[in-house]
Amino acid sequence: MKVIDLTQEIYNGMPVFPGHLRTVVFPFHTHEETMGSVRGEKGDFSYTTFGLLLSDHGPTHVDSIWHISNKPGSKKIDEIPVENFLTGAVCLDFTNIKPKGIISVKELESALGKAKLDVRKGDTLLLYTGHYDRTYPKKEYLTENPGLDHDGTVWLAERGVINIGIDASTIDSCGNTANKFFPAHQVCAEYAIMNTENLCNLGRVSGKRFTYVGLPLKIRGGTGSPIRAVALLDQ
Amino acid sequence: MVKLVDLSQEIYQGMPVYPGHLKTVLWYHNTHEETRASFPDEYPFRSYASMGMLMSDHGPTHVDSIFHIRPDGETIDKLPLEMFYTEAVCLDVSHVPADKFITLKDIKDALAKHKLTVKKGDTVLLYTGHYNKKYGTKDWLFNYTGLDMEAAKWLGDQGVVNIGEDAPSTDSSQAMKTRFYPGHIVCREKRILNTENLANLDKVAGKRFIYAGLPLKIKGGTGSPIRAIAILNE
Repeated sequence: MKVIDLTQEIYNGMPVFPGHLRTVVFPFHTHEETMGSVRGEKGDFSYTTFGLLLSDHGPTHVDSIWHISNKPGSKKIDEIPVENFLTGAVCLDFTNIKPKGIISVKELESALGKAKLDVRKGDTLLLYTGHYDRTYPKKEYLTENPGLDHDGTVWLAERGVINIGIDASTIDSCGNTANKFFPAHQVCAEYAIMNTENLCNLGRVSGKRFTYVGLPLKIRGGTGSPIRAVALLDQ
Repeated sequence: MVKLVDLSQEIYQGMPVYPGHLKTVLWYHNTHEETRASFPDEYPFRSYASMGMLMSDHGPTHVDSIFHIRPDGETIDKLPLEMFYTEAVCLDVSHVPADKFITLKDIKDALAKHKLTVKKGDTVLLYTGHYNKKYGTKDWLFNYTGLDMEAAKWLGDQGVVNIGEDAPSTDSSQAMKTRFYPGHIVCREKRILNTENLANLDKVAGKRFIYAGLPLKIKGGTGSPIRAIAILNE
């Protein structure tokens, strides 16, 4: 079995979706200041820890349903069963779609056909747009990505997809989000589908079926969670 | 049939954190009520919520990098992912009292009782019962068992890659006074991971399974909070 990392790095100054809390990683204990605090067999040693200040939607992360819907019954991240984060998955190639472009039903059908894959109930569906490879960490990373429209998202929802992931900061096209229009998020809210944003390395799993793992931290009342997303490929 | 068991503790404000580490603070950074004002009325999607979090990379259920205990060790982002997704066994040592150490005899007796062996590359989880018995009390942080030197060395010699337990540390609470941490000393020598603050180990004690406890990709990180799970084929 091969484990492929689909996760972006967490560091000070990393791009964060406008309006969310920025990332701060700071030394809390340093090796220098703790030297001597641990007694070893061959002399004393030291330890180090960090403090983390993070948005639950900052780095590579998964959205809870509560993030996008405050309707009663919308689940927070700690209320979603762990089984929903370890699923069958397919990744489809949309690198031909232009910046701010739209992925709709036609594009989904065509990409599935080309990859000779099918979408199954309970799947995670990853959209490989190439946007991370082209723009990260420039400003365009947050303002230019292509994404799903309303009909494309409904098409996935009707096929039973439970999690939609993308190598960009949102599954909605920036062609729409620039006008505060989030049709893909709206459909996910209606169908209670999760979003996984800020993935990377999707080129390595594009056109494949595999097991996707993207488990959230167990944050009480969390609206989402940073994750370590990986693909598990049988070899 | 694959069954998943959640081995993680909850993350919340006021949760217990190892003495001296950064405490956990959570708040709603954007609320549905606040963000509503920024969306045009005619659109159906009109609000969202997000959270801010301040925490130690060793606060909740977490894994230590090698850099945590040695300046020349790998930081959490430099360790191979395969170390965090491995075969595992969980040993029942819940009979060991809080003021005693987990000895090599305890480990070998548990293995014999479970008819299990420890293999190279395994994660070994120690079910002490401390989480089930003491979480939420003062004893949780200040009165628990841990590995003695002989037991820790033996686990190291078997080639395990990760040692985890349902307590704040692999090392007994006595280490806070004695400054002597056998589990951490062996992990430091052998470059073994250490996973702390697990829960629900009673549900996997005596079993072999797949363990997943993948760290966040924190650049230069000394450790990371994780969502730890067991994947059982039953």
